[in-house]
Amino acid sequence: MKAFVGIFGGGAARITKPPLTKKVSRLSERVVLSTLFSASSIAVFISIAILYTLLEGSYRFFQFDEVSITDFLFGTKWVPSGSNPSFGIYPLLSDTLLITGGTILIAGPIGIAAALFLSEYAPMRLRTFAKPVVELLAGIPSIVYGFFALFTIGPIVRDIFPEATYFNALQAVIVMSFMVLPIIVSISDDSLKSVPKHLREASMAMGATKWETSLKVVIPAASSGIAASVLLGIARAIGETMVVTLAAGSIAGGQWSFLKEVQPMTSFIAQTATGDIPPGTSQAEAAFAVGLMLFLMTFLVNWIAGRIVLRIKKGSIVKKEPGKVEKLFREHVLQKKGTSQYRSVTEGEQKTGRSQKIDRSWKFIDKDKLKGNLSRRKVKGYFGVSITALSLVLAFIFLVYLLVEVFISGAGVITWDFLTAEPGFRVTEASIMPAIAGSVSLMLLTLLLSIPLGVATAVYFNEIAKDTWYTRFLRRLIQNLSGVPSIVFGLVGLAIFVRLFDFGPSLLAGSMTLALMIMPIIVVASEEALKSVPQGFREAARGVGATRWQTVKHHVLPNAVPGIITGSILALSRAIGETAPILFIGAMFAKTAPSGVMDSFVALPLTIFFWSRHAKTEFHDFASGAILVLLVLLLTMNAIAIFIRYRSQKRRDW
Amino acid sequence: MFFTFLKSEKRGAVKTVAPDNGNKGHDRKGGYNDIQINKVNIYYFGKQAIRDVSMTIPEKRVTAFIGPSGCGKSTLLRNINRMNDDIVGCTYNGNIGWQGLDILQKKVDPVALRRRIGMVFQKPNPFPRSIFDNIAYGPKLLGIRNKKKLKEIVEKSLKDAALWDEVKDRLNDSAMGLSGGQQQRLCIARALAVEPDVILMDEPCSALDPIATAKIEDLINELKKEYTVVIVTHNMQQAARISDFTGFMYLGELIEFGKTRQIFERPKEELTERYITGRFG
Ligand SMILES: Nc1ncnc2c1ncn2[C@@H]1O[C@H](COP(=O)(O)OP(=O)(O)OP(=O)(O)O)[C@@H](O)[C@H]1O
Ligand SMILES: [Mg+2]
Repeated sequence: MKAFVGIFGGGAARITKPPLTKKVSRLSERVVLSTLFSASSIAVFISIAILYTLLEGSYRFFQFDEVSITDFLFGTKWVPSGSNPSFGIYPLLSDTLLITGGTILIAGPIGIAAALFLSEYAPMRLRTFAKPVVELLAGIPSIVYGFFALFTIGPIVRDIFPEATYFNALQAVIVMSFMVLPIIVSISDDSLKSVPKHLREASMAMGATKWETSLKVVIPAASSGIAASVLLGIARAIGETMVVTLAAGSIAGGQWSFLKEVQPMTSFIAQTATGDIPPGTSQAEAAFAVGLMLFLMTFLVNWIAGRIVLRIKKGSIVKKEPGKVEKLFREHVLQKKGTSQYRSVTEGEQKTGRSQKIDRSWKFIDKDKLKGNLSRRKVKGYFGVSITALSLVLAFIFLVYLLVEVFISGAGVITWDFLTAEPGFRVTEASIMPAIAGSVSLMLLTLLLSIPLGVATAVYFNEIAKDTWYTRFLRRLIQNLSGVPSIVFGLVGLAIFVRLFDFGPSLLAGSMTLALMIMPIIVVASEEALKSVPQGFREAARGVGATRWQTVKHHVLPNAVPGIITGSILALSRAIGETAPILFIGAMFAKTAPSGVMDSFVALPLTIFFWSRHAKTEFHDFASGAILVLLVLLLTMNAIAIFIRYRSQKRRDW
Repeated sequence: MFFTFLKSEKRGAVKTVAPDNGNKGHDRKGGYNDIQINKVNIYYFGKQAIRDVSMTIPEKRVTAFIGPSGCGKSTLLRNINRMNDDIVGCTYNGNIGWQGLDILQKKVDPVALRRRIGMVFQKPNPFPRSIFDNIAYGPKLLGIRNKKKLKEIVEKSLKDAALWDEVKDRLNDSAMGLSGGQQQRLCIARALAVEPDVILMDEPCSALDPIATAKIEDLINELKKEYTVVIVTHNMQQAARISDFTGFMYLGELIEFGKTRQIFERPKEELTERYITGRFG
């Protein structure tokens, strides 16, 4: 029968095909698919690593005689050292709340106002320029913010408030506000933008000014997105480590004063890493219990924010019942008196159920009064818009001030020897050569460890996975992992890679820690890139009989590569700017570049950190030199990423 | 089986397999190469999209599915080469007999199946690669590495798809530079290159202008000499022009199936008549 079909079927070179019941998916296909599946389970490994670290560490902490869980939770004294230590977390907790609250009080209003200006008032060209600039604030490493807080904002604060101590909460709070600003701006802007146009038009058509529409209709409609952005900002502020460690001090006071020295939870954990505390003591192990607390708090806040974002994505929030605008408008914009009369008329109409003859002599709005009223409303609008614009300007000023300061003070110390010579122990012999070498090796090793796994996970989720409870669970895990504070990853690196795997304080342990931290970012970025490949390519390939993996290998991945590279570079630039995750692993000083993966290492952010805390002020200038080098490195990476994205967009013909 | 096969060779003569005995088409016994859809139900997330559909799609004829938007034409079509296996939430039961097998069975590999039942989609979807690579892709998957043989296949497929003369000098140019109509013929050529027995087409002309549409229609007329063609279309004239058999679907059910002339001139169901005459609503 086959033969007949062959003869009559036509075709120059009749292709022989295996019978339908023979599986085309060969062994290699199955191997690849199960590899991808296993890769995606890395999320489980990371989660288990975090939980193991924190729970096991906390358990060891609570084994000490001087420690008890009740004291830890409800005690009000945090005196971790000395002959009679006391571990009541309240002072740390209250200092965290003080810093976070202060940060959000500044960043919240400024961020929302700037987002409102960007989404409603900024002309297109300003918008395309301003958004990346605001996002640049998020790309600056937190160690740089810490340095700026201590050495630039600090003196200003002490000028204005002479009673302020050298380390104080206020300088940290000011700088952190601009640090979390990009999160608030970009998410608020997204949700403001997603408010349907017809809501705005409905309000404007009723005679509301644009400002009134923004305030009374657009913001309420976007309120859940804005709330989510503030929550994410809060989570970020709770987890921020380097700024508080450098600028806020190391005395957990619980005094609720912005002008005094404070020590939030993150800062305490970082302090245990800086070598002042003997390991194995209750004071050192306390870091894990505090880390557990920190993890739980950020997890909770992120989880709530995540739920809100999810609900917005599903569209249940922006969808409004039709009468909503009118209601908002009447409640807020029309004068109270007029409103109630207007309402009673319409209600009367509805009750009688028939249309009455319109009686135009029936006036309840005093036109003359309305005119004056209108100009007042307009002035209010101008005033309001100016304030939103000002918020954006403030962010720019801050960014420019920071960059200029760093460049000016950094450029002075940079010499050829500073960059390339082997450092000595004298002040004149300071060099960042080992740090540059360390950072670059860290980056390369992190790249090798994280990108294959991250991309494989993304491919599995986007191309292969069926929608089962397990894949949904994995996705949730990955989303939540991206919100874990970086200092917690520092603890994980210490407990898992340095101790459990026995890699010691090595380059390998440091890279693995960073790889864990940026994995979720790479997964999300790669998924975006995969999603941008048109569905038609997949259908076409499947339609001519390509297997799943063949479809991915031949058509999806090649077209997603530029996007994946761009996302990975951005994730890597995040990794090399981080200090907290490698604080427990990296060395304070090294004479040479690391020569193998098991070698100890220093890195640029670590060097900046140690120099900023150095007693000799010359080292503060060296730190700004190192900052300059770090920023140039980061900017270069970002520029490369942007270039790749630009070129691939120009080249692609789909 | 051998007998059926010989009969189908007598092209031109009206086949005895014509479903004169029942307008739903499922009473008729199909031949080895006919696609015998039998009591097929298809669901999206448990919601039924296709209800108990049976029909026999005859070999080497053009069969059209018509019906209002959302009635399930695409869903049914995509089940014939199991494209629905890739859709999240899509499940089905029933059977589709073809070449002596129930192709909905688990033991039939959808990948192997699609190498014999090709598909052309609504929107032309060439790969962003050269024209040559687009067509050679399928044969390469089947393990053909020989350059000369690949060239032969590409040329033959493009000729069969009536595209050869237009592109023979630019085989190495990107397929994205072709016009929409050319792209769609390229997609047909790509489907032909793996030498399938059946070609499924889901509204292949809906993104094309009338001239490009006419070219595709001519092409389909040629194709049916060698291939079984199943086409979904919204264009009633098109169905009347090119198809030999027509199935009218409504709300996930097959309302009427028969020879195209009969469906368009003497529909047995009132619903069909109302749809064809445009008195629907
Ligand atoms: N991936 C999917 N998930 C859920 N429901 C789907 C999916 N695809 C189709 N449906 C639903 O199944 C029904 C049939 O859809 P189908 O696309 O087969 O209709 P159609 O007849 O091809 O319509 P059209 O003429 O508009 O292409 C519709 O109600 C549709 O909403
Ligand atoms: Mg369809």
